[in-house]
Formats: sequence, C-alpha cells, structure tokens
Amino acid sequence: MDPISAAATTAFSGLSAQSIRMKVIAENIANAQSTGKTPGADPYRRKLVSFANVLDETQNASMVQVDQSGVDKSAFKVEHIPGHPAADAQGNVKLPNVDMIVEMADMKEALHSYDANLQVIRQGREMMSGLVDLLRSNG
Amino acid sequence: MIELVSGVARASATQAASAAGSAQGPLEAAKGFATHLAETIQAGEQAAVGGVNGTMPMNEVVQKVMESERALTTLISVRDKAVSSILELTRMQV
Repeated sequence: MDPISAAATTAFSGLSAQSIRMKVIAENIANAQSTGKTPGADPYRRKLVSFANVLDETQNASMVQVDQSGVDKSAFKVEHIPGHPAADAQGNVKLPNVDMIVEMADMKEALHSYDANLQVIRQGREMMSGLVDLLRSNG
Repeated sequence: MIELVSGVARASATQAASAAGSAQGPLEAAKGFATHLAETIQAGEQAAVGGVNGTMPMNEVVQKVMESERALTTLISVRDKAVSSILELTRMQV
C-alpha cells in the first residue's frame, strides 16, 4: 500500500476518533444537570473515552480506535434540595460528576487533535498531487 | 455531475485496461493498476451517494471521495502520458 495513502487513512481514523470524543463531551455537557428520577437514585455518570492503537493489516499502519465504554468513577456532587424528586430522606440530591471546566479543556484538546489530523491529510494530498504532476510537467 | 465524472473515469480506465491488455510485456501490469483505480473511483461514487442519504459518516465520505479524486487525476495523467507517447511514435521518420 502506498505510504502517503496510508498516512491519509491513519489521519482519517484520527478524525473519526476525535469525532467520537466530541460526541461523548457533548453528552457529558448536555447531561451535566441530569439527576436520577427516584429518591436517592444515582445521577448521570460522566463518560470517558480511551484511545488504543490497532494495526490495520491492509495498510500496515497503526490506526486509532476509540473505546467509549469507560465511565468516570469519581464521587458525585451532593446538594441539599429537599423538594427534588431525586432527594433522599435528608433532602440531599446527587448531581452528576461532570466538571464543566474539564469538559471545556477536553473539547479544546479534541479540536486541536482534529486540526492536526486535518493538516496531515492536507499535506499528504499536496505531496501526492506534486508526485502525480511530475507526469504532466514533462510534456 | 458525479455520474459524468465516473463515466469519464470508467471510460479512461477501460481504455487504459484494454490498451494494457492488448500489449504484451511491461504494460501488462498497468491493467491491474487501472482496474484498482476504477474500483477506487466507484467506491468514491458510492460514498458520495451514502453521504447524500446520510447513511455513512461524513469523514468516511470525504475520505472515499478524496481517494476517488486522487485515482481519477492519476488515471488522467497516466492516460495523457500514454497518448503523448503514441503521438510521439506517429511522428517518427520513416
């Protein structure tokens, strides 16, 4: 397989990985206030993504693969809201362990990674078109 | 538009493949090359349809269409080169 094509395919796997990461961040932000429905029930638990490299046999290149099954095991925030449907006997409500600042930083990082992968694709295309143009310029 | 592009590509791929097929020797390898490029172009076309229907992730669509575009430009360059070689032969003094 052509190495420049393989580079592009690898970068595309990076784009896909960052898209999934972005989706998970969106879920975390959207559910930052999602509590349980019954008294004392657990609220939304922050999701985590982890990346792993996978060797693509056809391209002989290390692709990135996302595992989005991970969850943040840190403790929930607790607030005293007695009238809430999810409040326990003491009137405490468990709130999701989503930290907005962490999510924003994560989002910024996803954006930068996405841009870096785009740049790889752009550069690869330029190299490839330069190569193919060699056939033409001789005429 | 896409059909037009793929039509041109297929035609040139077939030409390249048949030209390579009829000639013996080193050009034989060009047949497989042309077939591979034609397949890539067809994959790009299918991806474009998938993108319009929303059945395929956007980055996959872009990837396939870009590969298809690259295959097309390579194919056209190779074809032009082959044509100019033949023209060069016809200009030979006899």
